[in-house]
Amino acid sequence: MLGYIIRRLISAVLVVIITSMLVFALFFYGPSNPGQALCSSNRCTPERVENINKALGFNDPVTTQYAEWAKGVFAGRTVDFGGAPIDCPAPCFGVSYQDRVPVTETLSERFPATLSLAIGGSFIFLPLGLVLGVLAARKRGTSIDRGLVGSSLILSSIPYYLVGLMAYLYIVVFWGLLPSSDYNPITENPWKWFTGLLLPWIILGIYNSTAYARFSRGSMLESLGEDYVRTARAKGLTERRIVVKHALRAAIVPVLTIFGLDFAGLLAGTVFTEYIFSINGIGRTALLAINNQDFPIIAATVLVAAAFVVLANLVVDILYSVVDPRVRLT
Amino acid sequence: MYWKRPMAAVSVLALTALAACGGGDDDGETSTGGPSDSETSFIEGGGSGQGQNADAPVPVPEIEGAVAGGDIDVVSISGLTTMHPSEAYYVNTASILSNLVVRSLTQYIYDAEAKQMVLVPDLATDLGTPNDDFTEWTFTLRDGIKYEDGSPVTAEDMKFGILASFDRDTFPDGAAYSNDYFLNGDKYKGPYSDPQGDCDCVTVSGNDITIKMAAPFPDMPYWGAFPAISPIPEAKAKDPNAYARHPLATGPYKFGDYKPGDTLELVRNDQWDQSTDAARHAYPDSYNMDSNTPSATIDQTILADQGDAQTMMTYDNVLAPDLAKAKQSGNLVTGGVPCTAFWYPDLRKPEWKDINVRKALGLSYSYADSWLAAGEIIGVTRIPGTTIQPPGIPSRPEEYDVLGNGGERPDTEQAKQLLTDADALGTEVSFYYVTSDPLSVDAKNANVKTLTEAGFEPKPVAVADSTAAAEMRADPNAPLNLRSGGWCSDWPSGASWMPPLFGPTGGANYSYFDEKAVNTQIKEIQTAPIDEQADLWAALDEEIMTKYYPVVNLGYYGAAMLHGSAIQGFLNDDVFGMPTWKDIHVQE
Amino acid sequence: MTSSTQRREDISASRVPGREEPYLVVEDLSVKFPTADGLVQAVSDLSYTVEQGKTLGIVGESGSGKSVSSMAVLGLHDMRRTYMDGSIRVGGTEVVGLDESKLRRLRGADVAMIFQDALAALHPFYKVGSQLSEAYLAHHPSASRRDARAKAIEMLDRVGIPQPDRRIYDYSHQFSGGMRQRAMIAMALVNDPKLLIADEPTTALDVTVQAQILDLLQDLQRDFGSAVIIITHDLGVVAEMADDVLVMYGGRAVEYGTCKQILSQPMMPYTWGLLESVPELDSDPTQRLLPIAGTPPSLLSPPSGCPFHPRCRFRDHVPGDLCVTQLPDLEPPLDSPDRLKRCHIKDTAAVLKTDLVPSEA
Repeated sequence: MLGYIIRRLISAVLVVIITSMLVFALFFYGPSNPGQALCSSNRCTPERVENINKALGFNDPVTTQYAEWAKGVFAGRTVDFGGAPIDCPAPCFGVSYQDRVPVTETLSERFPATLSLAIGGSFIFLPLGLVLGVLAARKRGTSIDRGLVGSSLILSSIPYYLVGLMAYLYIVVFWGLLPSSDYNPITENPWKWFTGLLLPWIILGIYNSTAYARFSRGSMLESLGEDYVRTARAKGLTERRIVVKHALRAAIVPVLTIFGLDFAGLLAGTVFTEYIFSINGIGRTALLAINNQDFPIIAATVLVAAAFVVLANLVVDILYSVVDPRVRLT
Repeated sequence: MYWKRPMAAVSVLALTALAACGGGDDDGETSTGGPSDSETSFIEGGGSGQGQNADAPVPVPEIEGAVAGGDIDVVSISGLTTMHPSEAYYVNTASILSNLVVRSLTQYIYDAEAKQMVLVPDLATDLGTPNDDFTEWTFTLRDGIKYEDGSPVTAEDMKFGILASFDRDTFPDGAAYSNDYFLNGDKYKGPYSDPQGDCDCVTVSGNDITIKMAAPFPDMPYWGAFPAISPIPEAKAKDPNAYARHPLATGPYKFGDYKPGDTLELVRNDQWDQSTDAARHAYPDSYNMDSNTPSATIDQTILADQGDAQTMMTYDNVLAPDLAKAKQSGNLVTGGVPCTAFWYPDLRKPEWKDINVRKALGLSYSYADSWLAAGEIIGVTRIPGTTIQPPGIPSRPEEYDVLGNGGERPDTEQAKQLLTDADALGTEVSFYYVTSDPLSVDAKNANVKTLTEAGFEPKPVAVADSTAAAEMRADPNAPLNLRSGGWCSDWPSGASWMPPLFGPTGGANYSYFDEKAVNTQIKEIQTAPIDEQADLWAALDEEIMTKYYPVVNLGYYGAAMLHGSAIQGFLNDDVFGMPTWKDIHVQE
Repeated sequence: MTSSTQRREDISASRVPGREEPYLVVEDLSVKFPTADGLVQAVSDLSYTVEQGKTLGIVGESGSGKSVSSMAVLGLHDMRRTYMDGSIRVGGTEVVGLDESKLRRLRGADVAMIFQDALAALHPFYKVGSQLSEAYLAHHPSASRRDARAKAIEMLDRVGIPQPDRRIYDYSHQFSGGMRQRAMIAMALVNDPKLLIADEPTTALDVTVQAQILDLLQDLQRDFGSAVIIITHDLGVVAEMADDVLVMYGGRAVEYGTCKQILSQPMMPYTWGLLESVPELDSDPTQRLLPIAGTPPSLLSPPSGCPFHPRCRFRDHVPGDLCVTQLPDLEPPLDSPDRLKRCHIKDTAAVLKTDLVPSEA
């Protein structure tokens, strides 16, 4: 097992490195002109753009730039925009063009918000999805089942940004049921942390639970049809025990593996949720960075996302082997 | 200057550039209680004087009925770019800094009787004393001014602040008037890029600061109102990036919690002495600037006016669909913004040599269709016009109408006639539009239609985003013959319009206009006696358009800003097209 | 049908004079499943009995209804999707229409079932020992976990699994095929059931293991005295284990008798076909096997008349088109009152002698 973990971690690191190279290549070979983006739109002359490009090393070959950047990650570096140099301690993922703040600082500041959102949302959509899915599976073919499946389909076919925006407008603005959403660090004021995130949690939770409900319904139906469930019934076990200990125990495994990957995606930033509800997390930061062509932030968020996904894959695989004794990791 | 205010719903691409607009007369209508008039009529003419008052009393009189207190939320879709005083040049950042945090040599005050912004002294004792040809200015600093940390503001600090305003490398986004007008401005790189150098243009003697110019600069008092012309203690600003995170406040508010690009909290600065300030009130306890908020939620939240929304305000324009409700609410502030949008035909190209072809172009702009396509509210956020300078600038001429269309509608028949007579049917018109912006695409379509009807051959060039568009505009060799953009003046004077737009070294001369006669006139006006300048600029405005018609006037910008019902004193500051921060107070 | 029912009761009663009714009595059982394509008539008018200490072998092809009828004994069908008619009495208790809680008390305690694929039938995520304990605790709620564990070890030992105290901590995939089946048998027997239903218990195993399992079952039956139903399509298994044999076809009983009777003197063309298709050790290898032509009947729309008629080679022994129009009754043949057949052919013994190559059954 340990050997397996080590090998997987090594390949995880490789994946992240390759991703970073790809991101670099995409940005620098793509149709972008960072110098122009950085240059103020008022007094921008071609010379000024050139100066910026030179100062930031944009005219160097991509490999040099990559090496600079990679060096920064391990040892830190100073970034010079042509004015006063900015100190960027390791791990340095660059300095934001817009704010002149090291990216590591910006992202680590914004991460707790995304984390809170992810955890709170999961607390709602995973159990809710499971319960509804199991219920639908148990009552398969009845109006309850049809109602659950139908309503989850309807809800999931409405684009998320619409649901989120409508929810915000009605619940916060028009009806005033909840205070306007906001991120307050839990260390400062746990109650405000809770109320500020309650609405986005609910929307994220309810919206995502539809997918989990459908998925756990399918998984549960499959599980209920398995031979071992028939055996359990033949043993004279109660229905509850059969459903929970036998069927659900098996059905939950694929749901959890999907959840693991899903959670990694949430950690990379739920862009719509953060934008609509004004939660200052990584997703929103990434969105704004893309609009501003703020490459260092874009690159860093992509890498963070890649790292999370790769790690989540690893965790999920390990968990799978723990949960299913037939699986042996080699 | 380039102002791009977020004009429509979901555009996150909002870059706001600074506009400093004329103090003259503008009908900054609005309400502190009554219904607002969105069909704002702009009062014409020069009104009272040049909009300057060197003898404004200190402290500024209290507003009747206003009480201290309240925490105001300011939401906007724009981001907050750099807040370093030497660099802040976008409308929002500059307006916030200079009104609330950082005091400069001079400042503006809203004159309720004359309904205009008036230039008054701030840290200087008056509006400065020039020599005969405006190549030397002397200001005297007030006594007893302190920074937020209690340390005193000195004339040396002011000198350092002025020197910092030269540094284009450290502050690439900042305004370059120091480089343009001050002595050695073309050589001196600024204290961070060139620590050993100096411009040798600023001398300090006691509280007196003397500045030498390289060229006549009659508008120095206006430049002195910029946050860039403010005191910076050199010892505490060794690292400009760190200083940008927390500039030392001399104004009534100082930085609290600040997340660059995102949120900014301003709290009371107890070191600010109201008795030294000729314009500022500081009634609210705090301001919380929240940027990057989606436009849809801004309008809805403020209009719903529930709970916290009563002390919420925005400086974004109201969205067209929400206009009716906004008018009804009585909490809509409208007014002028000192910007004009232009079409710039590339005068170097042979197809534009004939003035009649250019006039045909002017008659082929789709006007209302374009404005509506861009989400503008005609008469509120975009006002038709025919003169170069918008209303509110003292040097604006009486309205003339070169095309005879009031600046508000196309006349493709007449255009066709003009083209036929000039034997120019089928002239190609190539201009850019941004494919990722549906508004730009819609406007493009509207214009293609009218251009075609008029007998031109429109050839729109697609660009991916606004940065690419800016690149194209700035590139003299781009494959276009028509550029567009909005020009906003930095202060209410013709000197902030004619030279940049039509002068030989103009930073916004995108039509590549170069007429010796005009160049000479510009130089002459800049050295004429100060009280004659306004009329001379006005005459030049009319002459350029009637004699040469080099650019097409696509309308002036307007502001329409919403606030919650508990906010009072919010009028339109038409120097920026921003709220009159200095008068705002909360009344539950 | 009354007369045949009576006959059956007489038959069984005559085997064990003086006893009350046998432990399992199935009477006129019909099981139908409504599907999108129509009503599937899985079992029609099925009747049989099993006594304690005796083994009934139910033989038939797939789709003959053998598994469906046995699952009905345990009430394992989803009653929301099943139409059941008739009667099933276990130890006197009527099972058809019995409510869940009472059914649960029977399942795993009075009646136990073992299935064909032990790997699928045992839960892959739980240790085998705990699955056994679970079966025990379900019906002995006052027992402690320690007791249950001891019982599990005891049962594993009983079915011949070495080192049972270690193997209770293994998962089902860690057992070999034969061991797994033994474990499942252990789980079924942990509560001393009076009736054990074994549904194709050896089909998935190879021949040598098969023999061991069958031996085991016979030993256990001797020790526990339970009634056993063994469902199979393998006549060799039947020959080993069964006292009585019920042949099913198309959801119906088509022949019933003792093992010796059925295997040595089958009285129904289908049974003949079954026996003929079994290869013999000493038959001529070049001689072709004689399978039964055709395919099992559709249970959605069964053939008219006799369900076997489309595949029967002996229709000409029946006058007219009786085979096609009329379902034969299940009744004793002319000269053997103590067995039953469902066929229109009157003198099957004669046909057997004349038309078929004699074979040692």
